Amino acid sequence: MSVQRRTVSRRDFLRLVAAAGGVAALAACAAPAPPSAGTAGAGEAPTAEPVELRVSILQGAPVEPVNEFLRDATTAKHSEVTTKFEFISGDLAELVYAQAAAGTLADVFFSADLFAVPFAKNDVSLDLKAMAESDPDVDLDDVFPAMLGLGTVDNEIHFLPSGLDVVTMYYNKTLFEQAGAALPTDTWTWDDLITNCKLITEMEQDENGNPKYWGLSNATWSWWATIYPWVVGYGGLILADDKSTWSDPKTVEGLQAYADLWSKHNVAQPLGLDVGGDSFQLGRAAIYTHIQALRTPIRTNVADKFEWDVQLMPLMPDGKHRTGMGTWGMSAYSKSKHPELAYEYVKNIITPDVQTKMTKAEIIVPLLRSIAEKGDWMQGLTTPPQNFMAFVNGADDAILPVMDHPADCGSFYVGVVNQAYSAALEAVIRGTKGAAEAFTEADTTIQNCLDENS
Amino acid sequence: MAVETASLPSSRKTEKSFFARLVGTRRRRDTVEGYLFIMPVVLGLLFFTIGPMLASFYISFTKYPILRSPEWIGLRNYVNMFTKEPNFWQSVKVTLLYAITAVPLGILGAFLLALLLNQRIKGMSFFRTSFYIPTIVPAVASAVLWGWLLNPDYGLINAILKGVGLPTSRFLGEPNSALASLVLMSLWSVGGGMVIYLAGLQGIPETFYEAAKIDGANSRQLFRFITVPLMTPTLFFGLVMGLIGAFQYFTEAFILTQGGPLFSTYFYSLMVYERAFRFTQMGMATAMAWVLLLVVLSLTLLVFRSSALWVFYETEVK
Amino acid sequence: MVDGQETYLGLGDIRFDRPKQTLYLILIYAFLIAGAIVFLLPLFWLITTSLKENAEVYVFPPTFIPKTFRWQNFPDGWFYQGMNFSRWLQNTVFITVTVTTGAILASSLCAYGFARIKFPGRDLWFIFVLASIMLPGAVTLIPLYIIYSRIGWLGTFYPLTVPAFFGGGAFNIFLLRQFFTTIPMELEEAAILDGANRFRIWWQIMLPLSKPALATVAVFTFQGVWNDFYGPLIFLTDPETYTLALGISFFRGLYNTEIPLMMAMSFLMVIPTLVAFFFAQRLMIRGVVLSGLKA
Repeated sequence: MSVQRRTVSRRDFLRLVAAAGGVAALAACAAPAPPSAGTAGAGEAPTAEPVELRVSILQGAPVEPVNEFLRDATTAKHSEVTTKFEFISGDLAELVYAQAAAGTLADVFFSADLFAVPFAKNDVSLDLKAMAESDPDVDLDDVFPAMLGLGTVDNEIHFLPSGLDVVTMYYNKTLFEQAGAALPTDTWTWDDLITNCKLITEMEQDENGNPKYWGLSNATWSWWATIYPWVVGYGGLILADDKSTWSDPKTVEGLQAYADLWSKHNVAQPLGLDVGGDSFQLGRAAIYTHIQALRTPIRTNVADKFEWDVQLMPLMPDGKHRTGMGTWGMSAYSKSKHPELAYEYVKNIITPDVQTKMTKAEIIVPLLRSIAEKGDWMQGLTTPPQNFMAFVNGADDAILPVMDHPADCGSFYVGVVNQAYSAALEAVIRGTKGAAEAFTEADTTIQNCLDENS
Repeated sequence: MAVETASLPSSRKTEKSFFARLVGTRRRRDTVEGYLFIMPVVLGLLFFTIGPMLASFYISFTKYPILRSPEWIGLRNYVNMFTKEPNFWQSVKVTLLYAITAVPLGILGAFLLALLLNQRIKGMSFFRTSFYIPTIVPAVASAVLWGWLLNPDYGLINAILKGVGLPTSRFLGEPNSALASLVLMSLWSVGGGMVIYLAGLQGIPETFYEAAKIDGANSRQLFRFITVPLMTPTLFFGLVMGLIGAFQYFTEAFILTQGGPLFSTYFYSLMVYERAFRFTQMGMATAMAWVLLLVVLSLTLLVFRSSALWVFYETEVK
Repeated sequence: MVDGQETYLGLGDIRFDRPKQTLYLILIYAFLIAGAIVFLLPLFWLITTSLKENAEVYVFPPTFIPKTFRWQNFPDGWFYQGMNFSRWLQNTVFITVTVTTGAILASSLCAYGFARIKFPGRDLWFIFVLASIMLPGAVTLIPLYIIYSRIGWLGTFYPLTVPAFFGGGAFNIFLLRQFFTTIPMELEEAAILDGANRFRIWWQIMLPLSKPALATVAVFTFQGVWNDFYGPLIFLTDPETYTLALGISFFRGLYNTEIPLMMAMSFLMVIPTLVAFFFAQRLMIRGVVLSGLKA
């Protein structure tokens, strides 16, 4: 394939001049012109003309290999379809928003939990629910609700998740043993964790009296999937009847308990200490909480420096292994000329066949209950970890993020809400403000936005 | 002093210049020729700049969540920015602090380095290249490098500080040292300015020095009365571009600190970017960007006004 | 007065019978060497990391010299699955050479107009040129993207190359304008007396006399375009058209960065810029032309 180079025609040139006057630019900022309509919904017969589906993804593992599975499954069934992969990189927000604004987004595109709400509420992504419900190849009821929920906005499904990505506890077995601490079990409470992590933190000090090893890595300290479980585990909530409730007493109690990991118990690594977030892989922090996808890079980067495994998150006061999740998946563009085919492509990500292939390729943990809970999916997978079922058994205690903020106020992931709670939490952890004061301020900021956009 | 061409023998002129015949007077000819020379950038501005700029000016008066059409809200963005934005003034403070430290330090550092590297000493090519190197490592890679170099726990810089018995720092990890660390980092890339000043030094005609030497000037006088005045146009350039750059400082903060800890590196451009692509409040982001443009433009004009007092031009530019 | 007989001092000139010169040399070399070590750190770190195993990147404390040199990182990176660095190298060379050529020509033409000719509206246009870079790119990206989309330029090299011929960038214009203002007026007047038109003055006097400045513009433009990751990311769509800087960013995965491979490819990418700079800075050495002309 050679580089496609077009020459500038006279008409292009004239349009360019028009654009220069600002006319086209202004017009273009209005809603993008719909693509030449008429083809959509016309029903793609099996003998249809050749169709090229544009697929916008991230280069490399895990997204590219998964899309090879999706492509193969699609073309096996629809011989008229060819696919063209386009790659996005770095901060995809700019490119995806620019493409969406210009109406040039690919038919199928990589998406992730944080884009679900803005893309859904602004009609960028297609609602896949009706098509999925009437499709005999997929069974939505078999997908863990925590995963399907990440792509569900206002009872519509806007992206299909790739795997069972529940936040789980990675721990450095060698470090626990050296400190004479007990290894994490599936009945640990957070108090058990604190008691044992203290042994690790107190084991060895540097010349300034700072611990050489830490109980908990700080790498994911402000992620909603780390924090929100403390809110729910203590019986709090952050939004009720369109009111921001971060300063609700139970919410504050939970968040204070979380901040106490630093300020009171001194078992978590201080915030300014590890800019790269690699302390677990360096063997400096005994616990790191993240999803299953990290097992492969951790295995490579740790090599034989220490032994490690995974365990369920500790129990919260409500008696559950409260945890969050984070995943990526695939969406279909709402203005695609081939919505049915775009769906046909995307849906494969949750078919038993592709789920099994992805599992065997060690990319995912299956998100279909019928496969995951049987347990034989883990046979032949590379170890460590040994305790693969820890990735599955936390799924029913996992909680969904709050999706109900107006799009303009952002969400747990981005925008006003994210900035307000992160700032409050950081102040509490660093000890510059009390939890009640900090989260009352956060409430005010968020409430201003909610009022403005209600 | 403008070019004195009127006194030229007219016979020669008419055969040489088509435009001279066309328009007659020198003034008009200068105008036509001037516009011909700047034609590329005039067309470039018309083709690629005015459209997006006008569009963004319009957007600044709207509510524009990118994925829906803009909706006219008048001056609301401009008012809310100053009255309701919780971190607006913090970002103004951070940006000003950065500009008033990094710009003068950068100019001074680059100029001194250029003087040093302008010495006639063997191996200079190697040294010039070495000092320039930090500016050519690709941004994606240098971000990872800086993360390591400045890591408070195991970073190279703290290891060196510890080695020579100096106190270590948490650098980007603490609110009181993060901004200073970014200023320090910016000094690492003085190589760019150094090259410009070096070119400036090399551009000073040798004859000026020779003439002064014949008149008995010593090396300090040569520096004071030839080097410095003739370098002022280049230093002026460094100042204006430094200001424009500092007010739009973005990349390193975006990659390394994301404005933290506790908004201590929350630069203005970072706020604009977050509003645009994190909050999808493009209208507000654009209004903020236009306020920035007005401030930087006023400052630039002020610097240009002042240039008559300290910048030495061979031609009368103003 | 041609400066052919300029003397360059070196370490060999450290002699006890000339204490002043010796002190000067020792001081200056000490400073240069210390400075060079500090400024070479990033490159050093880039090279050692490019030779490490993945696991050795994550050790505490970090190792300065890799335990085993993993040269395999270079072929592994270049032929990484799904990557096409050979193709991307060609694209990058094409874009860089085109843009650098365009920027030098266009910016020096415009700079001459701004620096040497007096005409109404000149200062206003110049301020406009500067103002065009005062608006953060984040807020003009979408209108610009839409324009390129409407004229069918997305996915081609045009958005990356064509604008260079229309002005060559405010930075370059301003820089050259400042240099042109320092060139003695008499040179130009003499040429005009000899019957040269302005185009010839630009070509035969301004450009040759501004070699150091032109070399600076060339180096900056070359390097900026060579390393540009953002433009290609936004405006190119087909993997066949990608560039090296974009390719290197692909080593940054969703959950993991292939750090040694990324550093290995970054190192390869730095070499051409390094070589370009090394030669360009020789051009920055005072030209013989000037003193010759005035003699």
